Amino acid sequence: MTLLQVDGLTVRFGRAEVVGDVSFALERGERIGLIGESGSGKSMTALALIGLLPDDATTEGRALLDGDDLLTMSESKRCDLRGDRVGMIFQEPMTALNPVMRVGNQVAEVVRRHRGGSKRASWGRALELLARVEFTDPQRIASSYPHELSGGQRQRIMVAMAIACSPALVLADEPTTALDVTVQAQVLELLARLVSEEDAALVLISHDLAVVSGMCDRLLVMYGGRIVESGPTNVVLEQPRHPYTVGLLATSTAMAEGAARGRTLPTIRGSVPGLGQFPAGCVFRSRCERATDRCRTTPPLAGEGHAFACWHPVEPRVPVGGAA
Amino acid sequence: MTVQVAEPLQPEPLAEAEVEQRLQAGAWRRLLHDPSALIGGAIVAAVVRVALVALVWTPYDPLAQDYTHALAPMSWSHPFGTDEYGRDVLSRLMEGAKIVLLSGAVSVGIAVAGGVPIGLLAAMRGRVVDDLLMRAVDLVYAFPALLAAIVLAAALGASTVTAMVAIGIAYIPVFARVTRSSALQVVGSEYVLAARAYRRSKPAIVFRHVLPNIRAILIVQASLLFSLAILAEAGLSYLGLGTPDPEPSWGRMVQEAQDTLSRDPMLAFWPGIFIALAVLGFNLLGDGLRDVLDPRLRSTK
Amino acid sequence: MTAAVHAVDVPVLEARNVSKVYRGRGSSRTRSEVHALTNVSLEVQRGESLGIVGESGSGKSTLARLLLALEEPTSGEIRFTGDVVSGRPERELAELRRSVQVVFQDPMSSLDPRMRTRIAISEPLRALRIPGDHEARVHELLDAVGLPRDAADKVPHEFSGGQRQRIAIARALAPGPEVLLADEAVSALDVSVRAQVLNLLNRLIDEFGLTLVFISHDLSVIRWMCSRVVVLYRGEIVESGPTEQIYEHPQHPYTQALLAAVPRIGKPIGRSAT
Repeated sequence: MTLLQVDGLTVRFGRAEVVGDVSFALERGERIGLIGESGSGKSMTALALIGLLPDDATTEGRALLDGDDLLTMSESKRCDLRGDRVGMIFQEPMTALNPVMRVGNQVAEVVRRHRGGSKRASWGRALELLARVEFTDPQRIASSYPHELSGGQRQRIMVAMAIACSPALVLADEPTTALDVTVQAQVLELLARLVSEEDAALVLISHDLAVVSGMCDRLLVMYGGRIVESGPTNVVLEQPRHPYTVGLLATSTAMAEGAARGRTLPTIRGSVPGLGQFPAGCVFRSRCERATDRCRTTPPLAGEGHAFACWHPVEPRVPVGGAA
Repeated sequence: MTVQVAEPLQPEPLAEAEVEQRLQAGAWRRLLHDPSALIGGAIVAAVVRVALVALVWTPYDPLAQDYTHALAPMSWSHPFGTDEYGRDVLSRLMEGAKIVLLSGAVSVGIAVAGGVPIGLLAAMRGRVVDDLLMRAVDLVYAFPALLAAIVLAAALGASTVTAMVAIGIAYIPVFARVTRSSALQVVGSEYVLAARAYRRSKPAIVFRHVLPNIRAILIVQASLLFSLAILAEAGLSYLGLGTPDPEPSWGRMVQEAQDTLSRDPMLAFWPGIFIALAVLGFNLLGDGLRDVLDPRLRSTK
Repeated sequence: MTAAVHAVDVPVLEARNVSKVYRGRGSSRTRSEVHALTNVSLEVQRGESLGIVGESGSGKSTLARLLLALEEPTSGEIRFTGDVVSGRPERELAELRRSVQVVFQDPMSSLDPRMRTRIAISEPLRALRIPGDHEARVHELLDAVGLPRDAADKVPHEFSGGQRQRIAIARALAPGPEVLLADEAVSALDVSVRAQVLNLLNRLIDEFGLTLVFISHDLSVIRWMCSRVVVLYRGEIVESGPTEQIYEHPQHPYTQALLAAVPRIGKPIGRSAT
């Protein structure tokens, strides 16, 4: 059975829609990446799934985790879920970790909350987990306070807490954005390995196309609160159909290739509209050079496997060996 | 084939206002809807109006004694009655409103005039100056305001002004600290760094960048301190260290009413309740201002 | 444009054996010391685009401040067109201040939130006492950075991050500098906006003949913008050279580790490569 089935998830603040009609399915052990820039709604989607949206947000739609609707379940049931069936990793560990509690205790607490057991037993388990996230001296780390550790170390602790109870799903929202590149690589590799060991599904959210494409089997490209393109990673990367995806890819790949291509980077004209300012119909049409009157109607996300929401999709590239 | 979008020849249209602008534009509107600000503002406005009126007119001379009508109960001619000397309580209350505002203004004025420059210097003149000034401030902070008031009253004779000077000086540390911490935040920001890079002198930075950006915090602080000053003046006058006879400070009126408490308890009640109201009013106003200005302050980190 | 004539081979900015140590509070016994920079030497040649690559703790921001003479080195010298500027009193730095300008990272705090754009952009003109029609200059600069004229009356919170950076760039260009120092100037921007601002920077560099010092942790951006690269690690320069050489044949282990760690589109992470 599908692990997570999201149908028509919509999140609004007053009349402004931050997540619009998001639907996707996640199988056990599958990894999907939500990619988007600011205002894309990717973080809001994650928050909606674990019930951490601000109070003034309204949600519609369904999100079934093994049959239970995440959007309508009681808060106590959600608390049981968080840390147990669903492990979470956020961007800024300093706010997620208790600054006045030793790190080992925080990890142990997660274990005790969901699996019970004595303090000693959970402390022991905490040390095991710290060893799994590649701390060579778990004892010392466990006795430390969050401020005594580096950003990378704190994130590894978050990873440890996320997988402590062998969750079915790990939700990671920009887990490495605040880290140095070298540390980022280490944390991502670690995350990938552990998710694999636990046979957990992964929802990875990032603005970094390289990170997401490196970690995930499937990509969901979000813009203006909507999924504009989705599909297997390599298909989306090689055959992007939505103009936004194409633009994003063009910029990212051009920069990676260096200035040999001349001095102008391909760009998407205009900038991301503010909250509640996205155009009606196709959310991207205010910035799209292919936009026509037809785009005043919202294009549906259409396609099997590889889907995109566009009335005038970009032609699929003729597969050629080497860079286009 | 990649999508090559040329840089537009026309400058790009401005993005619509984001959430922040909603916050800004809504600030005044929110102030009008914020219950603290509304109630506090109403009370403060009332006190101000009464004081203004008292400047030119009171039903009776607040100081005029009339033994034939001593301790009169509430009536049409004396809505709040009279005290043991026959003085009209309403007129005294109105006159007292002037003292309330005066004492608040003088105290806060002194605290601001002393505290803000100290805070600015501490924030901008390097660690040695910062340490020196802040330790001096700590000293003043540790010294009980009441004691200072007593000393001053003993030396210069009790009066509203000496009490207020004592209170004002006692509150300088508060403003010094608040100014220093918010000034430090501004000075640490990138736009100040950029300003130094194009040769803005320190005084110019203070006036063009620091003060405008800490204004909001200072206003909130001033409002809150105003309420404390009112209470302090009332307390000091009650103790005989502030406004002397026969000036009708509300605190003094409470003290005088003690003699006749059994015969006319309302004489103590009215000034007391007005003190409480005035303090509450400024407090609420300060809270309301802080609620309204805080989100914006947070976003200007 | 400044009309100063300099010998061609004198670097416009130079750091000679510069070290910077920050001392914490407390007595000499208990005080903590941070060695932000240790014996750093580099030259910025006129007209070049120099990249300074460093992660957190590398000392790159400290180096930026030293080059801008906003802080004094603990030892060593900073030179501007051959003249020593470190250790000089502020009143002698007029030429430096006019010729070297900076764009910082955070669009949220790079502009005074209470200042209207026209004031913000013309501030350097007032501070440096540059005569002329400031209003016209503001319009000129808004055009140059691709913002509409009516932006002049707006306040920072009415703009997006990318637009704020454009305003910061306009402000930096106001006094007609020779050198533009960009300290993580695009790091806080979305990818698509980043591209726009980088294109803008390149255009301005070409148009005004600017020298660029670009500081960033982002290797791709540095590769795109700079012809020469200096790699900073823990306060020391570990490697420097032409961009392509550094990226194709890194010599120092740190540089190699850095380049290997950069995620690339299509490069799998943590799994056996398919």
